[in-house]
Amino acid sequence: MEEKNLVERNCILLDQDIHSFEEVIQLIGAEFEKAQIVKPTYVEAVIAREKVFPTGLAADGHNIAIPHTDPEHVLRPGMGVVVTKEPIEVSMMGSPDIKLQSNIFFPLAMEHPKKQLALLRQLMSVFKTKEDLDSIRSAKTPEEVLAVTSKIKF
Amino acid sequence: MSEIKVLSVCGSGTVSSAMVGERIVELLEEHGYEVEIQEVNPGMVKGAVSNGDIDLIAFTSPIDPADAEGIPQINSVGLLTGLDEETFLDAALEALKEMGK
Repeated sequence: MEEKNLVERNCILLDQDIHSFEEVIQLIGAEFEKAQIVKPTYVEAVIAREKVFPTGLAADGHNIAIPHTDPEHVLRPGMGVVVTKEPIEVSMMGSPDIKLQSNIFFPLAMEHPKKQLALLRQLMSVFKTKEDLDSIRSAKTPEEVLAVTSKIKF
Repeated sequence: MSEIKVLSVCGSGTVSSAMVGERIVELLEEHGYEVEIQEVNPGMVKGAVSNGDIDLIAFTSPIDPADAEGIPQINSVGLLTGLDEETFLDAALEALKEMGK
């Protein structure tokens, strides 16, 4: 079976001049829907979930967020990469009172997290690698991001 | 090998708990424990605890401590980024030793 990339080119949004978490999700949600990765209910579900179970993480050298929601809103697995011009405030996973300023967002569409464990583990290794996050943050073209994310196969 | 049951808790009971769960199994195995992981969301903690025998709870989303009184509850967010595995591991090993496991 052909190996697929987790991140598709159209789901990489760089240099975004947006200022809220909601806008991040609306933008990536539109691309996910077009690519039939998620159902139309995904965007609202992610925004609502983030308020209760935030996904901000202090990763290696960068603050990031991994917004996601329940598999019922997902059609097939995928991940987006959104890099914003200005930092956006998110709350830290597990400690909602702690706020982080993030420029890099990895919205996730997971269909069967247990079946896709290998994929999630590879993702975690990107978070641990400052050089990977540096490349994504400073990328001027989607290809630069794909150079990092195409390591993640499933 | 000492067998233990760990509850991995995250908001949806799916993504983060799965990511973390695997890592917990690996880390504790290195210290001689055979780990059975159950993944739940915070709303399911009480039920899982009453159903049986949970030795440790690892959470990436806050849980109500009252749902799991008497069971060590350890924040496992550091395992997601891999940047702070020691804090989790130390706390887990300490807790397990105190239980005599």
